[in-house]
Amino acid sequence: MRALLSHYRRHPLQLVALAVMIVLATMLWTGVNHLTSQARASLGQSERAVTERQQVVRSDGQTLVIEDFVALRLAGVCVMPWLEATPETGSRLVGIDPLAAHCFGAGTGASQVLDQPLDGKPFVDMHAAAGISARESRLYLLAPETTQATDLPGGYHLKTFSTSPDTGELGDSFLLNLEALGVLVLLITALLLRSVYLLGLAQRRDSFALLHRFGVSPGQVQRWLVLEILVLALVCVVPGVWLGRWLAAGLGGGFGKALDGLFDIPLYAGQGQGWITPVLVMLGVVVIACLGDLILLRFRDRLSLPMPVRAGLAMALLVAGLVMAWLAPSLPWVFVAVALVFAGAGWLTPATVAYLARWRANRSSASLALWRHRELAVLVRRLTLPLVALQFALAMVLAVQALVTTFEGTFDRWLAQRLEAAYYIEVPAGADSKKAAEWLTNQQEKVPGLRWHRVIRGRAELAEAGSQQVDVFAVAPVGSLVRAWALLESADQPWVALSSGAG
Amino acid sequence: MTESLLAVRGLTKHFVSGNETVPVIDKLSFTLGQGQSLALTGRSGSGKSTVLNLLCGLELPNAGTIVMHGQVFEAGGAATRQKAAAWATLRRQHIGVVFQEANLMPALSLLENVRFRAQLAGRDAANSEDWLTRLGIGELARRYPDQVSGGQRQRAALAMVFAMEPALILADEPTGSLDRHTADEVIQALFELQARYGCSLILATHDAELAAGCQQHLDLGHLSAL
Repeated sequence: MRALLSHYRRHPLQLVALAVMIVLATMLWTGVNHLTSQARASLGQSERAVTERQQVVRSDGQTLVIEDFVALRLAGVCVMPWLEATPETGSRLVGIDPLAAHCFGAGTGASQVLDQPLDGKPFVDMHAAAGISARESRLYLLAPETTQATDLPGGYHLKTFSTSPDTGELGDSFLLNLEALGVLVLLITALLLRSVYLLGLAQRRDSFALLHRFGVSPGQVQRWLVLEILVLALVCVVPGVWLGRWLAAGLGGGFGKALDGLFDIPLYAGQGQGWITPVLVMLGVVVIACLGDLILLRFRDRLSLPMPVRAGLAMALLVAGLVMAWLAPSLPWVFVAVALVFAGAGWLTPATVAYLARWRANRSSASLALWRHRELAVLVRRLTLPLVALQFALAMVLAVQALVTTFEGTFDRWLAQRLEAAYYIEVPAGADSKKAAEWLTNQQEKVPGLRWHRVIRGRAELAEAGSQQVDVFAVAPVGSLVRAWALLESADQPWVALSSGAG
Repeated sequence: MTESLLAVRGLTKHFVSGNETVPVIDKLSFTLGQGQSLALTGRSGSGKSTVLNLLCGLELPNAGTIVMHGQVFEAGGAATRQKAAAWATLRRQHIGVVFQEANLMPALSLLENVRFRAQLAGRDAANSEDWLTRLGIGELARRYPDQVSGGQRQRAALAMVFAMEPALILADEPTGSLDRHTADEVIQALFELQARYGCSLILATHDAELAAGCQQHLDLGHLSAL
């Protein structure tokens, strides 16, 4: 073992390069992986926050009527009526009963929303919604989360009640980007590690041959190599994972703030994944990248295929990949198809280049050209794996770039509906926003056409209406997507209306 | 009568190149007593190195029997893994091998090389520095192989071999890459120490002068044992 490790004593930079690469790659992958987990949990949490409510429906599929409300209340089930009415002209209204809002208990989102005078739109008192001449109206009975199916009388059951826009595709796109980035990090890590490690291994080949002559069996040398790389990986992976979690925590803070801004409530899921999975994954990557050849060596005879069979297999992979790329139903299948295409092409390319180089060599009269082409023919046959890996890396870069571009577009449009504006002036936490508001008001008088909106997230206090607490949720100016979305209510300059107490 | 350390009977080796079988060694037989020396001579490609490789188990024969240090190795048959393990043990503990070059671990100093080889054979490594001194390179003990000359490397290789107290030394053109003067010094040291410590020696060489220093001579060009 000492004889083996002595190599790094004479070539310490190789050891340092390997160690640094393992630490950095582990940190990067763990960070990305951790962010992906946190993003998945946070998005799940956000979707639950904006979409999940439950309602009571009739088991016979009939529309609910007021008698159902009475029957449920008499049975002791606390439900809140939610009457959606679409007038002949104008936007949809929601009529609710403030008295029944206590079903959701104090401090919950529903009771907070409903704990105020219902004199605005789209939420109005039940009698106002019922009194309009509606083109279409429908009664829902919302039940708090504590209500179980067993609490209901016969003929009724619980069902999810959702009025919010579906963010599923946006979230999926976001997560797919992060996961693709994670895979890319792993792939590039494996390639770089393999290059540095194989360089060291090539330098040690004479030592291995000498050890064999000295009576040390190849199996023993292989076991030492496995042990050596495992110890190195373990020593480097553990701090790498720690650094990755630290990195994710740092980046996650910003991510959490972004989610807070988007959803107006704290949704960041924080630390999630444990240590074991990233440590095991990186150990596996390091061992396979560095010792893959040793593992394959044992099966070399069985894996060795005649040239025509290999060419046929490569061609089959290529064709299968192309067909799959054409027919792929979803993005993950496109990834698989691209992988097949590049594996097939990577397998075929060296043989094709070698054939062409030999053909050129046979037609070369200059001795240097002959040497160059012969050398190339020999060299490319050994480059199958690096070529495939390089093509994979290129494909991944292209795919991730395409995903990022798509995601950016989707995200921009999605964000536009909520926070569209040319500039944002952020008032630091704890600072007095009145001075900024006064200055902006003055500017509005000096510069014709300047419009500004005061954005208050979460709970805010309206100065003009005493100490009335309000929830702020508005879109201004109206983004391109909003026009296509079925919103409950939209209005020009909602902040102006809000500041005048008409919100 | 000297006790026999090595007996070779009907040793045959051929290589397969494509569809062609190339015979290299054909029914070679000889014996070597404890403390005796044998010169293997012949032109390039006559099979000298192949015989040495067969005698230390780095290659396996197609036919014949080798009796080495009391162990019998017959060609063919099953249990290749056990044979390889037995040969590895013999190489580790009893057979010292010196090649034309690349005999030293490049990452170890000369002294560490000698110590390493002695420890690998299960011998006391305390005298490692003495061996280097006896071979005239004591002051270079802390240098690495790439920091000394070819002749000094071969002396260090001999020090390694003698430090492991072998029963048999296999030397394959050990002075082939050295100038005449240095080659004479190295080979003189080899014969001297071999005689003093009573180990057997098989020297593969195409140099008739070197071969003359051995007690026995086997010309693979004529396959005639003298």
